[in-house]
Amino acid sequence: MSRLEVRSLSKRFGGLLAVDGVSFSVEVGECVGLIGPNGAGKTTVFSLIAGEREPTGGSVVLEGRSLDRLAAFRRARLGLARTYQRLEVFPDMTVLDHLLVAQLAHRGSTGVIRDLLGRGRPTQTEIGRATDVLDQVGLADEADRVVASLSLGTCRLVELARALVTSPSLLLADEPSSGLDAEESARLGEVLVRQREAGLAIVVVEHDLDVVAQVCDRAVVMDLGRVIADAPVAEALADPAVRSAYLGVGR
Amino acid sequence: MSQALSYALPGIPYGCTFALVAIGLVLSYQSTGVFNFAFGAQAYVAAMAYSVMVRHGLGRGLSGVLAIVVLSPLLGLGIDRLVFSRISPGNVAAKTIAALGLMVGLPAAVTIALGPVQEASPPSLLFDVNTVVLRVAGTPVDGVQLATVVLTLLVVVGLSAMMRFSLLGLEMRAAVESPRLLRLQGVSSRRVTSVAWIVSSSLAGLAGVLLAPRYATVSIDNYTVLLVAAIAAAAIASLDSMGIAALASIAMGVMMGLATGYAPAGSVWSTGLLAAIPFFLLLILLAVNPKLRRLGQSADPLAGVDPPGVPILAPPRSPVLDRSLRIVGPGVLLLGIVSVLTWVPSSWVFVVTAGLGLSLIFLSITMITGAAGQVSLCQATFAGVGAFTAGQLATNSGVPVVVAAVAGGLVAAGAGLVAALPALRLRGLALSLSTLTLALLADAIAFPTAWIGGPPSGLTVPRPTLGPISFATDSTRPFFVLVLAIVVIVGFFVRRLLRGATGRGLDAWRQSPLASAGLGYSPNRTKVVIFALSAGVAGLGGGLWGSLLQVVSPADFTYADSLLFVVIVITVGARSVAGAVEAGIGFALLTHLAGYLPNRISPSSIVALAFSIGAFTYAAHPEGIVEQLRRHATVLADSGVRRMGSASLEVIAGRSKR
Repeated sequence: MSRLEVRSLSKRFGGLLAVDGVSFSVEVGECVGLIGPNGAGKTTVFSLIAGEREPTGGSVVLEGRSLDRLAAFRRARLGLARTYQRLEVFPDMTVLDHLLVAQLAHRGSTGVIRDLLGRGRPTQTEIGRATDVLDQVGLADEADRVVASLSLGTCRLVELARALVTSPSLLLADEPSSGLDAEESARLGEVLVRQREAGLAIVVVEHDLDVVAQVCDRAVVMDLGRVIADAPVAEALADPAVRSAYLGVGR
Repeated sequence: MSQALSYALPGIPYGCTFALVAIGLVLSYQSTGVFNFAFGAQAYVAAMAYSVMVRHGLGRGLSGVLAIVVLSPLLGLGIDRLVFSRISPGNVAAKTIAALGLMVGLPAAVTIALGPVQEASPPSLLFDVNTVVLRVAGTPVDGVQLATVVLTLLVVVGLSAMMRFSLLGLEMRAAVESPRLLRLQGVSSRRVTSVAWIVSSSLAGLAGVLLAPRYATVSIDNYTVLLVAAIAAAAIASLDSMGIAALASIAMGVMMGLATGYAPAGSVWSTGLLAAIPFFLLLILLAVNPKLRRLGQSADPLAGVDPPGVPILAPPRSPVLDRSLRIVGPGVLLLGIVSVLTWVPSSWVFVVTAGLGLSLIFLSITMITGAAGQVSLCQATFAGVGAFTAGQLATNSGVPVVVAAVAGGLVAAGAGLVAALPALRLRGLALSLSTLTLALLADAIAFPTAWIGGPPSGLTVPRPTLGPISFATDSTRPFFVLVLAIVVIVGFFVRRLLRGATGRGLDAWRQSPLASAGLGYSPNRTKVVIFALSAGVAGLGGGLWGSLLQVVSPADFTYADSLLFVVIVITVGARSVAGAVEAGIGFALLTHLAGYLPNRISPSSIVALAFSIGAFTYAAHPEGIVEQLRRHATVLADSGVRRMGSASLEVIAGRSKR
């Protein structure tokens, strides 16, 4: 059974068919690069998988379970985590708080009654888990910094750490390397590779082909809402249709 | 048929009065991006100015011109320059709070300027109420009605044309969408926004002056009721089209005219419910129109280049300072409590106790506004529900008043739950609107009913007795201890909520709904529970407050109180329990002190004005003024301690060198 199966997903915005019958699957421990030119519909596919938008047609299956009727927060609790193309951090919170709140939200234990009984504070295990993940992405020194005071690249890593802290089964990373400097970018690659080896299924929307080549096994190439290639990275990039659409060769 | 016509026709000019305000709301929303809660207050200022000028013999024409063409535009310009131009376009919360501050502050300023007197309504600007100008199908139409209809038509057509076809209108719409893009086109977005405020403020002035003769006195309450009715019409138009808003207003007027005609005279229906039709309409619209739920959400394509907001100061502290603060804070608190219990004169003890009682009500605002980030405008109403329940139970059923106050809290929590269920899907502006509407409904229909709000002479809420201890002595001291104990207990639990999972989750959701849902967070149940709990706390506070006053009446818990309370708590600090207590005691003390001012200055107005000005600082200091000052002082003290520390280190180092 595939970790994630996307079956002929489509989304229409008025007269525009932004996503047109997209199908692909991701296996356990596999990293798939979802690539394609701007406006190909990659981020829309992410938002359909995550449940932020309702698809016009098609379905999404996570570990054999259909997600089609589930709200975004329920999909997240089933093990789907994501980062965002346009940053979605909590500006007034510290880095550590991001990871703590993620764990609370994931357990669905933000109830009022627990708090009134005095059991609402994060546990030692949760704090330990958060510190571990911060170590992994290299943010240990920034744990107590308020996120509004961090650089764009660091914020991307915060989003990644926040997504990883709940031990998801599927990670959707939307342009994780944009705004990162070379060092941060390399660390990002390492983190993704290590997570993949630990069994996480990853889909990355990425423009930096070096990152794609480093972390991805396979590339799904989109253009104008359709999948035009689905093959190992090197093979996909050599595909003439991909070269024409993505690199503008021969167009 | 002709009877129906004679009922319906007067509804048209009546509807036009809503229309003028509804158009103003649409215009200011489209041209400034602010949902202008203060529109009614602006109209009130112009009406007051007109009325006073006419009374001093300035003549109707000249007074009208001065009020509408000079004063109102200046007011609009002032509001823009002093308040809204300092708030970034994406900061919806700050804009709403600033508008609420104006809604409280403008009438207070008028009362301070003119003294707390009732202003009899002025003669009409154009024509006269008593002159029948023409008859339509046998129904007389007076001068004011005709003028209202004609002017409304002119305004709709003129302003719609301006927004749609003129360059200025285009620039105004662009300035709301993205002031940055407009500036990149070489247009001064500041100038455009100022012009927009001048135009919409003039319209408010026109509406104010034109509508003043309809009422017996010029009073802000009339304009607020008119405002909310007009919001219903503007909501039908989704704040999109002035034409539709005007048509909806007129339809509403005709509907109300028909209902007035056919309702049996003297029934509850004809006295209270009728006037409430627009309120019910607005509540329904807010629940069903998805466009309204997204009100005020900015979609500036360049929002991403905004510099990030100033992070709230959280300095690294020196351990010395930390330790001494941990002693000093509770020390001062203890000193205060001991003072109140020993040497403070009993009139001041009463004031402090009143402040504590208020801080319980204010804690409810800390829960809903500070934690959940939602501005509820009916917390005084919930306090009223608590107070009236306590009073009815204690006086009519002989229930001990402490039990009755707790029961009051429970009833208020129930009311809050009912109010929260439709509000479940609402947030931001829509929630503020629906709670304001609920407060007005309670003021108009529920509280004046004898079995709820008590007889017109007021409802007695006795002081409690606990076993052998009576709190009804002349001194308020024992009662102070009781209220203090309750505040401490409630404060303890509110603090747990703020610092626990609830507070964190809501905080995350407020800052990014998308990401918090992406983490598995769903705020819906928490929101309802918090709303109900906060209503319960307000109700309990209301019961105690009533017991302190010993007699309560509907006038103690009006929508205006709700507004003032929110403004006060936000100004002082809505994010902490200490903030609520400081707000309560500070407000009580300031009001008491203001009583020593010369007689003609109303103490409550001057305090309201002060706090509403404070509300304008929300954009810069969302954590509240007191909290900001405290953090600032800590930073200063911290660097002072560090400097002293390093200086003494240098001395030691110098000695050892020698």
